[in-house]
Amino acid sequence: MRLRPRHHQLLRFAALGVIVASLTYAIGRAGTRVDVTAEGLSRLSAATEKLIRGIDKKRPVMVHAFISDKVPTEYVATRARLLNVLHEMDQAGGSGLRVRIVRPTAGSKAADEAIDDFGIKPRSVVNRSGGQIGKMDVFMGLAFVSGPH
Amino acid sequence: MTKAIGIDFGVVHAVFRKDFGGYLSNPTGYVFLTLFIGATAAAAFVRDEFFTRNLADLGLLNQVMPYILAFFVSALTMTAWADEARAGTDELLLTLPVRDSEVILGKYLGALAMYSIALLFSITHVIVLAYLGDPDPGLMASTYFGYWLMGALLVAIGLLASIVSTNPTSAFVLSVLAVAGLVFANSAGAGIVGGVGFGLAGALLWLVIRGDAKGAVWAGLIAGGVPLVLWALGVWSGFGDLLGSIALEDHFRSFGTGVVRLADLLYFAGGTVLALYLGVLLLGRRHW
Repeated sequence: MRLRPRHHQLLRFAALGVIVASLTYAIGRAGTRVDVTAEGLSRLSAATEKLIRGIDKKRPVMVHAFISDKVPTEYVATRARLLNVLHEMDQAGGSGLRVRIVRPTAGSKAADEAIDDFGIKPRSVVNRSGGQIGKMDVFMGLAFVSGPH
Repeated sequence: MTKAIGIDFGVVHAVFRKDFGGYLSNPTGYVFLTLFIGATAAAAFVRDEFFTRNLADLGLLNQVMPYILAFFVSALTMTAWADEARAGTDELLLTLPVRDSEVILGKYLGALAMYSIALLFSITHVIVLAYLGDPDPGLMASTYFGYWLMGALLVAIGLLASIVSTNPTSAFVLSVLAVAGLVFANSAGAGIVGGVGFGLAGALLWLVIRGDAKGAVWAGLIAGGVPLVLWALGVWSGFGDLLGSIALEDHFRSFGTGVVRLADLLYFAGGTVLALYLGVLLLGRRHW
């Protein structure tokens, strides 16, 4: 079959798609990144990075993070920082470390899993919002599991 | 005329000036600017969580920015080709001794410039944050860079939709659906998104190879239906992961936390180039 100009264009488009997809994947695996925040909000410490690099791929680490969606104002910054660090660990970990973030609510299956499987219990903390003081059950626990899955 | 990589930038500039001038000389352009700033401000500040979070960032806006852009960018680009068809200038434009790529690039840059202006005005949100707290300058810069990159990709997709359909309403709907596909690629409905994506790819392949629109519909149905069935039966377990890797939100998230990843930059830049190239390919279908 004689190739027409539109066939050439389609081939070029497909080749471009393959180049973009493979470059994005390869560079994503390499983890080239820069934290541009003044306080290094998403920066992992050198010791953590070394620890992650040293994980034996045959015994991958799975991080189960149980973090409530809603937390009192005092814990918002801590929660945001924790989530940032977990995402960074997930990106830096490759196949040696995976992070699973679960957002349990009171009485949910995820809450049962946190309590029954990992012993992570919700903490009742003071919640001051809307001019009222009350209690709020908050999950903010991590479980590290290692070994072949 | 300035020529590089086979593109006459004099032509690109002329098309850009015409389109960009069109946006600014039309009241719709100013309505777009106002509504965009209003909608983003409402998403960022007019929510209870903004004060309970007590963080000087745009985290709440980041959660909904893809949805806001899906509508606003589609509204911006839906008339890109419809206006030409209505004024009868499309045939004139496409019969002039200019390349399709130059026309597409000029139109793209016109729409992108309009979006960039809207984004520039929305920097007032940072001023509000600076008044209320102490936002991290690096975090603000990376967040806005992410908004711009995401908008750049969506403008290219919107332009593609307006090439496929010169009816503004159809172009708007097509563009919103395409963006929704990217937004929901990592959700529970990923199989449907993937099925539609594979279907469109199959239809495009048939259309370009055979030049037959009727057969393309069947090719699209088969190409989309097979992976959809395999996914529904649980045979193709990696289908969800494959689609998740193209999800818009996943590639934007890092920008919103002050981290610029090279892979995310490539995703947005590469996706934009791909959408524009596909636009050139489809615009050339009148010669098939």
